Amino acid sequence: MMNNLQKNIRFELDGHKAWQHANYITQWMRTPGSTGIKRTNQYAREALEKYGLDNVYEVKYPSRENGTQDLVFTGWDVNDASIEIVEPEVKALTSYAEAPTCIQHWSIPTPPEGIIAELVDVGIGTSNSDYEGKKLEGKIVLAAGDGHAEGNSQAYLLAVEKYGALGLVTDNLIYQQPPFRVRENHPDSIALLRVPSREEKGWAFTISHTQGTYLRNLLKKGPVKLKVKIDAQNFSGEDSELVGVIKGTEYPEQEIWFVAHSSGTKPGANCAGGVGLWIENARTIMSLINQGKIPRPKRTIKFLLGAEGMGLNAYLKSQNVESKNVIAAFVYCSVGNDQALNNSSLILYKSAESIPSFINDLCINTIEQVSMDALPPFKDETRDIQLIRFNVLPYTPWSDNSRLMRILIPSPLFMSWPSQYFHTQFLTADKLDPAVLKRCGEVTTSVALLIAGAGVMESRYIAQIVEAKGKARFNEVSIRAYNEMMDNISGEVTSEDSLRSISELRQGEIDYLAERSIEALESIRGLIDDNQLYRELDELIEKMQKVKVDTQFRIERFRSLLSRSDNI
Amino acid sequence: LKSNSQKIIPKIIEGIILPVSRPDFNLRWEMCRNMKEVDADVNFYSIRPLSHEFMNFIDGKRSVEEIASAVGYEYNIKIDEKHVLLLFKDLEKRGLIKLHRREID
Repeated sequence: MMNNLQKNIRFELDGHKAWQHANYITQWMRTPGSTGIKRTNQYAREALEKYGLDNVYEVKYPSRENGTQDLVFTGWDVNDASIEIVEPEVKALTSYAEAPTCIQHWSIPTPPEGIIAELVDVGIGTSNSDYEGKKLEGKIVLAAGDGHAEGNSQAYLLAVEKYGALGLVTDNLIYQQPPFRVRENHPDSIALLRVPSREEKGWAFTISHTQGTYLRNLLKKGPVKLKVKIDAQNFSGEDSELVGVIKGTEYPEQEIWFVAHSSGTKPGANCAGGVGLWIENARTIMSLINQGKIPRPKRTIKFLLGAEGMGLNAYLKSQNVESKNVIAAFVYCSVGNDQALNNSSLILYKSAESIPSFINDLCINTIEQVSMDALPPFKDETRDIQLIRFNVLPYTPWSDNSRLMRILIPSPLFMSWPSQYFHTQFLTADKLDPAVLKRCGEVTTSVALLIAGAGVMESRYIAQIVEAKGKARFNEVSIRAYNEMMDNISGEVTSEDSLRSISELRQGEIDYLAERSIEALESIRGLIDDNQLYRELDELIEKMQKVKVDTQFRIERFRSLLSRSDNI
Repeated sequence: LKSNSQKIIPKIIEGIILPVSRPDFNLRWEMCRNMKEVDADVNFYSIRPLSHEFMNFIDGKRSVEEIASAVGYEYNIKIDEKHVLLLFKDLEKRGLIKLHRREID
């Protein structure tokens, strides 16, 4: 059942607008420091300025003025690239125009006429033994890779920097996930990969599995020569983090952040989806304020956009950010995958449990409230059936959430996974779904605005959610314990000891969950200074302790009853 | 490093911010192989999030055993103290944390 804030957001936030932004951005290769990322940031900046945020500015890096002088990096731009077979036959393999993911980032350019060299197959290509005894200087190495980005890095370092090859060609497909994403059922996918070092000694191409297999078969018949042309530049990089601010009216020092990254490959619709929703969130909030449907927030809302990792790092270095003042940072990665086309689900990767916060419970509760899409047969108004999948998983460092977590800022990450087209040339804007973008926006904007506007009553509401969710987790664990014990007594080998170890394990889990819930309740004190609220929090914590003990007692009693039965 | 009557308490060395980057490639594979023997669910990609949380839970009070248990519950993975120590000994060697021994009361 949606609350009024959620209903306002559902009415205002337009998934199609988010999609249009994302679609526009996919035209650019958006490597850090590139022309494409600068155009993306400029596009986003113009949107935020148009929406009337209180302040929109950029933090440039590296810059002594901003304290970001040590953020030195190598930028990379690409204009064109192609790879073809010239002996024993002439056949085009792929090109930047056809599959922009084929040229590995930070590849060095070739002379304008290109280079022609012999191809040598080294098998997987991730260990020294794959290369020993082969003459590779001045040649091109073909390596299958091991399904990991690190395997690509190792293959490049061995082939080019250790054994003197001109470049690497690989049909490595990373993030394989049977049965949805393996090389055999994605024979034409060309995965984004990156040259690992900045020594500027060589280049690397990714080709499809079909092309890789073709080359291996050709090599069995005799020598093969390839022609490679690359028009690209490595340069001393300059970039910036874009910041948009809606200033809080009562507690401006407390902040809620929306973090997305404008970096990405071309087309890279997954990352572009995050930018699209980030822009649409800003419009939605400003529009609701301007229409008088919501008050201006009590706390400051910030929008941060730039190169994943380094951009946010620049912002953190340039500002004296006090972690305790950032209540939550909502991090967007690929937030809009079409779930049917990508075999995908929206995922809330929880903020790390090691950082005490109410944010996870609030997000989970909001997902449940807004994820209602279709009518049951017996109703005309209330939609009770979920059509968009939205799963909750533990903390996983996919994006800027890792950096924020390290400085103790609660940072739930939103992205789609699995994704059969992830980081390939096929992840174009048509693989995004405006409805999924909207769902992610509904959840995150609702939670952000609730926190940003929280007074005593809202804080009290958040506390009730945390307490209810905490108790529900106790129940889930106790049911798991009962199931495990029942499985145990119906198994071939049953013993007192094994029942006891199940009971101890699950009681330990309840201790852990109680500690997490109590710390989450404690974190609400950071929102507002109110003695009555603090007393209520103390009472909730006391109740939580009692329920914990009761749940543990019930598990132990169940074990004891089973132990006394004839099954043991 | 540890006898049965001792707990190992990791402490971050003052002024140090622990790394966001992945642990070394070979260390990750070593951790993965070791952990997989105890829980088949562990894979190569598990190691980065688990390592982050191993580090996050360091507060100068929790023992390595308690950290293993907390992260195990968070991810529903069986984690042994020795798996966490693989990472922590590497961090200690790099001068980022110190492993203290404490007698069990």
